[in-house]
Amino acid sequence: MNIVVNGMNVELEREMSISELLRIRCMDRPLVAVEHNLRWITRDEWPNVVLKDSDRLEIVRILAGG
Amino acid sequence: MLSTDDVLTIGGRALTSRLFIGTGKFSSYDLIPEVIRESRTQVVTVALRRLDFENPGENMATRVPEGCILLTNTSGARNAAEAVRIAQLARAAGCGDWIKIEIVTDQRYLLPDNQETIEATRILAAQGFVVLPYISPDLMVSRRLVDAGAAAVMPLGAPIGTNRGIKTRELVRILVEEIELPVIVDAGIGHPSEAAEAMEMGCSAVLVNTAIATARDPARMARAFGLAVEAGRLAFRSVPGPVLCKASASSPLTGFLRD
Repeated sequence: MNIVVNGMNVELEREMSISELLRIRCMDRPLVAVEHNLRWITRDEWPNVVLKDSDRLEIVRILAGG
Repeated sequence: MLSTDDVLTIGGRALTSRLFIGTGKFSSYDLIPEVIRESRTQVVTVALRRLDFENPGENMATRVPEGCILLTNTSGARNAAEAVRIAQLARAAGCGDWIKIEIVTDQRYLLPDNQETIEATRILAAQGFVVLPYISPDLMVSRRLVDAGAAAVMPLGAPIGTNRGIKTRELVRILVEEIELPVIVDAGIGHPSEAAEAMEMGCSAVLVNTAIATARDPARMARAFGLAVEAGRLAFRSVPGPVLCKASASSPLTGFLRD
């Protein structure tokens, strides 16, 4: 199935949760946030949200800024 | 030691340092811990961006000492709705409730959109954020920000990144006089003397980024800013003497050796 992550098409071989996706991609770390279909979700919810075809994710991180 | 009898309280947090530091533009993240240490700051700004799915990059979290308050800016936001979205994601990322609203559509001078900033402040304050709006200095806008629930107002001294000093001093002075909230000069301060000037005027704090990040020795400049902010604050609390047009002798005018 295909999902859109930060505006890019990403193909997933199988169904997985948000936390699983982030773990596989080494993005599971502090100061990262996820918006799932335009709804921000807490880190506690990551394991419970199973991604579906055409889902849209925004994965953001904190970085240096003024 | 920093003075503990002169605390700045924002959002329920008691701050003994009145210097906020921005973390952008440093040539390496390695410099940031020393800059924070030398400046003795307690509030550090950060930004929020998309994570590169192919290359997650370095983790900023490891560079900021525990105990520092993260103040996430909403840079990149072009209107209130985008600023609110960024703030909510920042909170979800674990940055806490402090948010610097920065809404910019003007790309030449990066001047903030005061009207959208008021709207974003109203929404985010109602959601429990500690809202510090970056604004063009304006009294009526600041009064509306007070009503909207802002925790402070952050007027610019000069456009972001210019190191030009407090070109807006008369307008900032009016805000200090008229607004009950802390006034924090953000943007434009390029030298420690200008940070001291802001504090002497009665500003509650200053936010400095470019001046430190682009100095040849950022850690030493951070220390200089920390000292300047403290000196300026002490001067303000000391209540400077009057400014006169004509001379007023400092030594006695009697007992001269002549006659």
